[in-house]
Amino acid sequence: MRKVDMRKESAVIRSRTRSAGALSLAAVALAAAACGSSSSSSTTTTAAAKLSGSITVSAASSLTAAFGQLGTKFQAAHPGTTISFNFGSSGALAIQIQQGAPADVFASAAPANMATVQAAGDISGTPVTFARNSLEIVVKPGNPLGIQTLADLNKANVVAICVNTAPCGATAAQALAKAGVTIPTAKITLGPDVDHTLAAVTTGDADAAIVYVTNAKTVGTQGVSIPIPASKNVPTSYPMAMVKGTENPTLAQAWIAYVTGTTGQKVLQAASFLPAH
Amino acid sequence: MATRTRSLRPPLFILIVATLTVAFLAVPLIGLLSKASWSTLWSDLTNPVAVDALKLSLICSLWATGLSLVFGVPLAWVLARTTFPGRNLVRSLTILPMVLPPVVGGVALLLAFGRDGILGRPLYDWFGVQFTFSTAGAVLAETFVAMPFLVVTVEAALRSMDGRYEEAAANLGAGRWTTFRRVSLPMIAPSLVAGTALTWARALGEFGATITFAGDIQGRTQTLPLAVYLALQDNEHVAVALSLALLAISIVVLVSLRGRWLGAIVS
Repeated sequence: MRKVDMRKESAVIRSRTRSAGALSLAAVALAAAACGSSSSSSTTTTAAAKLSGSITVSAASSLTAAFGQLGTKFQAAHPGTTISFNFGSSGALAIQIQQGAPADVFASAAPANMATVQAAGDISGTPVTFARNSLEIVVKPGNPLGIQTLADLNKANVVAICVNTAPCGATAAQALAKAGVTIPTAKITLGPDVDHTLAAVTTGDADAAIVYVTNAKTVGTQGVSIPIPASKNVPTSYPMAMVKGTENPTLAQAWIAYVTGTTGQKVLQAASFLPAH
Repeated sequence: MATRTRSLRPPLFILIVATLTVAFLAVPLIGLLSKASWSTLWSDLTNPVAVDALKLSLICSLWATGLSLVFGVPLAWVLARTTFPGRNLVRSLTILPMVLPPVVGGVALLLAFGRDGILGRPLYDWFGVQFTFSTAGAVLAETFVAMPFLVVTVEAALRSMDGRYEEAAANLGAGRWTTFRRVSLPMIAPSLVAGTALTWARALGEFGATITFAGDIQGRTQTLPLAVYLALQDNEHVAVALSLALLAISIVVLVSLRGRWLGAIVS
């Protein structure tokens, strides 16, 4: 539902950008004066930076908090720009982009999904890796079942894992295979993305979930996170690239540079993401 | 009445809009049919995940319909035949799940029947009963969302029914239960059938409350709509095949009801 809304919204934004692009700067200023705040995005263009307009960033749902924060910071640093987000599982986002959803930047939680979009010819330039992540187990507050390892997950009645098309699901399956653990299908509830998977434990009645370290850090009093040792963990790297056909390549590039730059990396690492390299 | 039948030719504008509306409703279905991969349809529908989802959907929706009949018909009768303070409030409460976003319904169910919920906690602590992530939970979610359709349809039928038949039966010495069973129920039968079918169709299509409250476990809570949603990201042709199965079931319901039965909903 959220995705649909974002699409609609970005369609509106898009039409505004296009018409603004067609006009000369003077005309934009006039229009801005006439329409007031609705085209305020164009008024500051003449003042400082060349950045203006808006882009939609389709990003893995594990990036929700960090990108939300970075978006606000970016807009504050470049008044007149709007960064909209469409968060979802990287698998779902990849399909959306291939089917022509209006996205300007794709930030995937795994190279595989980026590769799919790239193979379909929907990416312009080379994707850059901007962060890495790994997995952790989250259980109910107080860890009533005494779960300490991946093998202990079989003590649980219900384990929440992402669908295998989402990177968090694919890596969780790899981690379980690495540890030689098989959880019966009848015990697994599938989350469409990492946020929903975590919510099955924090707001629902699932006993445990396998999620990213960055999500596990956010549980607060609603759960306990249990680390998975590096030998059994499956790290994943996050690539980001500009989507072919973007109407605002300047802003898209600026956003990618911002995320890979000092501020971007500081915010991401504060959210427990690992540095890209 | 006479004036209504005479105006056979509608204004052109209305005709155009009506045509567009039909197109709007029909084109997505055509899209579904055009995307279907007919050669793999059978294997798509018979893979273990699809079979589990089909079976589970039938079981859960039939249970939800049965529960709606058992609990919904008496409520409809009370709402139609008795007066008590706060009756309108009760009716609004009954209809609320119809207009509530199903996901919100799922969250509400979690807070009531989840392991930490108002009723869920004592149920779990005392009897070890857990609805969340169980087939019973999926049935509960479907019943919550679908039952109002039955209550509303049956109540409307009871209201529009000629009350003199019930009076006559009572005057002839029939008890209240006999009157209800032998007079009221047969007279509202068409609406009862229509309401039951609507309720069943709504239960069969339930998604939001189920995934929120009961999760998405293959063979346990993963009903057809949930399977469609997951398949969409993985195997689009499987998603289309499952959607076609749901569409076929819906058409069968509509056709078997015919205009006569559907007319009962409107009355």
